[in-house]
Amino acid sequence: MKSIYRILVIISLVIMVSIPKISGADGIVRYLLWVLLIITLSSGWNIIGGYAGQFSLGHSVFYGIGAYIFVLFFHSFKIHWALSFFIAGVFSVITSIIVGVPTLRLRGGYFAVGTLTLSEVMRVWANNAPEVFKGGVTGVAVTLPEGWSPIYSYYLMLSLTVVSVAISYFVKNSTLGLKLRAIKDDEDAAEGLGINVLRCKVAALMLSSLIVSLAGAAQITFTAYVSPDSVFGVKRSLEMVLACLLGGLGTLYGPIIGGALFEILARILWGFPHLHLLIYGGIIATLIVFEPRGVIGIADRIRHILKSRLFLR
Amino acid sequence: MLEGANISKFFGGLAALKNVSFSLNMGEIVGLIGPNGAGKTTLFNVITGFTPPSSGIVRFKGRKISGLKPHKICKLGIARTYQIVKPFSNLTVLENVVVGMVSGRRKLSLSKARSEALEILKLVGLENKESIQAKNLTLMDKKMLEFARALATEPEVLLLDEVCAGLNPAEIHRAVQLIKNLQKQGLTIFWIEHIMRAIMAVADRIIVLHHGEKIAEGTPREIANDSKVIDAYLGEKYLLG
Amino acid sequence: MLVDGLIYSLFLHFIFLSSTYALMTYGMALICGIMRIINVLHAGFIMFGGYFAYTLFIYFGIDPLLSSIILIPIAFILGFSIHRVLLARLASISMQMTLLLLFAIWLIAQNLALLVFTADPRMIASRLPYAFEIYLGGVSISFQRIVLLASFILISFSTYILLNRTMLGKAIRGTSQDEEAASYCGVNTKLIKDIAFGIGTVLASMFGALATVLYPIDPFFGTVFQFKAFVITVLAGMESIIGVIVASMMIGAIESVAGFYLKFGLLDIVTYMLLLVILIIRPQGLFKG
Repeated sequence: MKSIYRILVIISLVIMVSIPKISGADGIVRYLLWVLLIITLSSGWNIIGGYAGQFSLGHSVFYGIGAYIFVLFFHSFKIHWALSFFIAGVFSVITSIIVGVPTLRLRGGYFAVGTLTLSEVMRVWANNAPEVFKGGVTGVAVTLPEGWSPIYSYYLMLSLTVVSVAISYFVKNSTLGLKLRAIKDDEDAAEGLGINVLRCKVAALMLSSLIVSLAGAAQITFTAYVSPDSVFGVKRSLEMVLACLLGGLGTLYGPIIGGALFEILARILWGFPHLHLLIYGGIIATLIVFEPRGVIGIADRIRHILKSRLFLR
Repeated sequence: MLEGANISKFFGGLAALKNVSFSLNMGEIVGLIGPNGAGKTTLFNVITGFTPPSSGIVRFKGRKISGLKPHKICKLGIARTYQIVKPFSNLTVLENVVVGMVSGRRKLSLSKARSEALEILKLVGLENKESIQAKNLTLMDKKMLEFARALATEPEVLLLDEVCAGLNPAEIHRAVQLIKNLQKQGLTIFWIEHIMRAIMAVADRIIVLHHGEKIAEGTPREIANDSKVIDAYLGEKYLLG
Repeated sequence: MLVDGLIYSLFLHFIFLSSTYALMTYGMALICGIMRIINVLHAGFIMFGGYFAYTLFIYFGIDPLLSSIILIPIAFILGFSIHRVLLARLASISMQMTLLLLFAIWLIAQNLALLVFTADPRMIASRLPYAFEIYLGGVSISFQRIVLLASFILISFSTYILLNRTMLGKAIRGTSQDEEAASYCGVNTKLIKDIAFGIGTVLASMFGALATVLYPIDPFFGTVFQFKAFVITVLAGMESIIGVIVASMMIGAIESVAGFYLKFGLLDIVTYMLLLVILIIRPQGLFKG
């Protein structure tokens, strides 16, 4: 990593860690919780959607599994929250293998539709099975441990975000990352070179689902609420995709930029609940047609134009 | 080394390959020729596991490999190039070769792979272009890259699919030199080609396919004078001379 | 006698369910065969057809059966244009992006419908002249089901003729099996793909219009069907009308019987698991065209 980036990362980390210490920063802390959440989710989706190039249209299935399993073990079984986290992650990874192996083998959108349908199936099941999914349709308010303050959630989310971005960084610069780039470019050529394409894709999916499910569990600590629509819904899946596309698919910083931008968008749309999905769809469609590489792509273009202008001078 | 016994491949009602048998000995260069649509690339696809044979067996060093997935076959030591080049367009030349190094038989670490990849690039003459994105290469360079990438997996058998198509005579000469070099280094080569003068000069043996069937097999000289082969190419005898 | 009656009504239920499912899946199977991707916009077209029929009925008193005929050129032009303008180029570059775009378009369509028509289900079935019950062998069924069944037979027949007995159909099937070979034979594959998408759109929209004969329509109308259409398409393989019918019957049978015992929601999980199993053992479907 170039040294200037390293310094920037350290500075921003220091800033992020110190924010809660500032008095009166409560509002900022609450706002940042959402930003960190979407950055984490976006980084997670980026691993399978950006690095591996396999779009998951129903990624909220892992988010929801993380949330509900956490609630089940922490709330109902009274298991320690750290252990509940771990178990939530395990369930999610297992699900990702079950869904991933049959669908990632095939080309043609089976994976995308596979995750989409599973998220819907889970949503309907959760609506109708309150024995397994606490609260059923209406959802349930989760009681947090004694003395829990949003600041704990903040540090939890911050750690999770840092871990997610770190995982993203290590994947990108690892052998797996290189293989995924090759697979994204030409699956057949990759297979012919000895790359076990399916294993690589499933590995990416496992990592991705782990991150997203832990985020799903972590957000319970500050939303204190879970319901089938809020965690298994298409909206959640879309938000991850949108944030990633906005910032720059397949890049390291894209999800971060996209996450921040997305939260601003979400604030703007706050007063118009009916327009959310419509605008999301519109932005996604526009991005696909005009600039699939999001902000980073636009920045690149500008840089290119400037370079050529300066050159001609 | 590499042999196929009675390979047949049907696509729906169409027979792409009918009872084709072949055998490559270690260190040989065996040519595979035949008019367009004869089934040559299909045979390569069967050997490398991209499509299973409808019947028949492929054996590598005595062991059955038909039915295995392509990546396993590569790991056993068979690599290939493609009729229409398939480089990883968005990766640099160096990265293309590194991919081969980390996925093939040796599975090196990334840092080690980078230095060894440069050696291979020198072999094919691309060492000065390591940072260029593959999509920006000339056709010749792309073909050399395919060589390099395949070689990075440390194969024992190399399957070449129409290497000389679209190249000018100087480039063809360079490609042929490379192939001869590789044979000297101990590789066994199975080579599909349309540019006859290239393959006739270099191959130890030639197999001829037509309409999915093997119609002739022998030394270049024998093939050049085989009436069945001449018929198949319909008057292209001047090419075989 | 009671058991007889139960089996008989289950059987009737199975017939009606299977025919409905098959009719809804035709469009998706056709597009799947031609574009090699699952058309997530399928639900959107169904919804479009439904609201189209609804609007025509409310404002002009036009029967949904007639609306479905009127839909044919309209839906065709819609599908043809969408493919030609938005999808054709993208599909050759990136299938994943195409999928996402289709999904985004569906979202836009669904939410526009939500804005215009609100989430309230709109029912016109009860106001139709043939909304009465008849007795078939001792079981009472709505006549609309008969109407739907008849439409199913008619449409299946016409689509079969179109795909298997016309030059256009041969061109479509050839292109979906092997595009390169088809273009060598002189087929304008670009145009054929646009046309095929248009036909798929027509089939989906017609189903939507016809479905209003029996079901109320809301913006989530297509979603329920889409999942099943997906499963049936995978089961059936593509391009085969017979395949779709048989696969629909299989799903119809499973649902009629298992739906009896399994709790709502759990049935979908079972169907999903079945889908995954099929994807593992025989992803090209049971009836390769």
